[in-house]
Amino acid sequence: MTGYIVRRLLWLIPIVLAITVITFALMHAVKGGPFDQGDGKSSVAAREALKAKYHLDKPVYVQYFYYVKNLVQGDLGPDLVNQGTSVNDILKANWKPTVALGLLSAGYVLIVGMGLGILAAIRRNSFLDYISVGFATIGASTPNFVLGILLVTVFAVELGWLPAIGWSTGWTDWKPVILPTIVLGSLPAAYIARITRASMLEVMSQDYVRTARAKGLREQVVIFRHIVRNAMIPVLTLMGPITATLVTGSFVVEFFFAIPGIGRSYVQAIIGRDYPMIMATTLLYAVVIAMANLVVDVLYSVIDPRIKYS
Amino acid sequence: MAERSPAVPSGVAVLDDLARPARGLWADSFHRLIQNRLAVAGLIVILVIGLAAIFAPVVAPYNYAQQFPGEFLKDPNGSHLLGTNQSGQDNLSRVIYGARNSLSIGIFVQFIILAIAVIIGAGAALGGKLTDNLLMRFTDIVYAFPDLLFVIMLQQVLAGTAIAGYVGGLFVVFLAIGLVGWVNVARLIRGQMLSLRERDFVIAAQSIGATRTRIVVQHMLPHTVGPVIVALTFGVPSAIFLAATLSFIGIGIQPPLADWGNMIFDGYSAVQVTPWPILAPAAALALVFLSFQFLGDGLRDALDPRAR
Repeated sequence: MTGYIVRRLLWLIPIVLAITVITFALMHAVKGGPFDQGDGKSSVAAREALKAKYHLDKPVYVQYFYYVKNLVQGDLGPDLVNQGTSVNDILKANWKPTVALGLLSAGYVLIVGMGLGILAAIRRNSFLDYISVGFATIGASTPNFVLGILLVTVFAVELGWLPAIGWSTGWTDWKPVILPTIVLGSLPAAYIARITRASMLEVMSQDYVRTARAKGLREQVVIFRHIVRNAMIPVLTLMGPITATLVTGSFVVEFFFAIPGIGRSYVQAIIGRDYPMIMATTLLYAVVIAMANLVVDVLYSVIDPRIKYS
Repeated sequence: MAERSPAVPSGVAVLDDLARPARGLWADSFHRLIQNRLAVAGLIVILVIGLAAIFAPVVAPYNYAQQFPGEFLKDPNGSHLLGTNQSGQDNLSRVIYGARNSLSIGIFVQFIILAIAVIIGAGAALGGKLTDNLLMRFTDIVYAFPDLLFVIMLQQVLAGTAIAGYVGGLFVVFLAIGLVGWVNVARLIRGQMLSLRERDFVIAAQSIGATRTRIVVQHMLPHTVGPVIVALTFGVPSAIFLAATLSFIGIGIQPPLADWGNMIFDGYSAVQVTPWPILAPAAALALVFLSFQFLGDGLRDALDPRAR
């Protein structure tokens, strides 16, 4: 098992390198560098000096070499648009809302999605089941920004219960957190609810469930130990893609709610052609998604001991 | 089979009733598809919206860019069935014209995805071990990219190149989404082909001396078509969502061209006056999404030969 994890982690290195090559090539194919448009204050000479300072006057492959050299040392490069700051500074200043939003949404996805799916399957064809199927259908067919508009209009503008934009400033400031979490998490939650329900229903018709009931086990034990645990395997498969959905969804949600996180600074970086920031964000998210997939694969063998990695 | 119990009298007549009409694989699949009500409903909605999009100049009450002075942000009324937006444009007409962009993105992207996926997937399955390894590691790398990020980057890169000058911004959005979205389909094709390669009918074809090309074209490709059609059907609404998201962030299709995403974004600033500029395109998006979803589910059941 340890060997498997180590091999998977080592495999990340070529992936990350390949992503830097692709991103680097793409960003340099874009017309216009960060210092091409004067801001009215800097002279042509000053801009040339800035280019020289950041090696932007050198051939692309030399620039790439400098980048990788710094990357290996943990330096993601200078922030070209905001003078005097580095990408590390920006990520350090912005990671908290993004991570908090991601974790809260993941929690929401698991609790609401799996909860609704399990309840719907246990009480099949009940009112609760219809609510759950309805949520899964509507949730999956509404893009997150549309849901955002609807919720903000109702809960922020009309009712005034929750703020329309911004992010929490501390532990007790919970109100700004609610809408972004729901907006980011609803689409994957709907998906999970649907798959959980289907998977539960399939497991419930298995012989070992009948056996468990026949030998007189309490219903809770049957449901949680025999049904839910086995029904979770197909659901778990989705957690990798779902992490990716949460990660990319956070761009739109941070942009929409003006949350000072990494996603929003990425959109700004794209507009400002801030190469190091764009590459850093892409790398960071690629690594997060790869790690999530690794965790999911390891969790498989925890839930289903029949699966073994060698 | 279960119906043929020995208790049933006069076996010949019953067997006649049970006998299926002789139908080919495709006719049989079509027959099963049209028995699925949700799938048929989805197909009809898609056809209606598709036709409305193609004949937009005839169907839409007004042009998408036509402005009605003094009629800003009206709720639905006799002359504007879905109201007007803040530029005094008819929402219904813009939704119909918007269907052109949104649907064509959804569908054309699938052709780009299919082209790349067939080359990479079939290449990996049929080429040697080295080709397979190289192509699949490349696929892993593209898979590791967060898709929205990659689309945004590609869109920015392509928009700055000469290609964009020739074909316009809409095609750039197609291309960006297509270049990112082929991974799952390529894996699907590879997996199908690898399993087909070991099947008896392929080995039989090999043993009677069929050429490699003939085996691939005649025996293997038809068997991969079903799952690929299903994957592409589910891909249409995802591509439409992605394009709408790009428009919403402000880097997709630009006004005055109508696209459901940029309509929603425009409508947001005036949502307190009237929700109709948002509701109309949002409902269209949801309708198209559900229709393709139902059609995809129906196709998946219909195209599975084992479901006969």
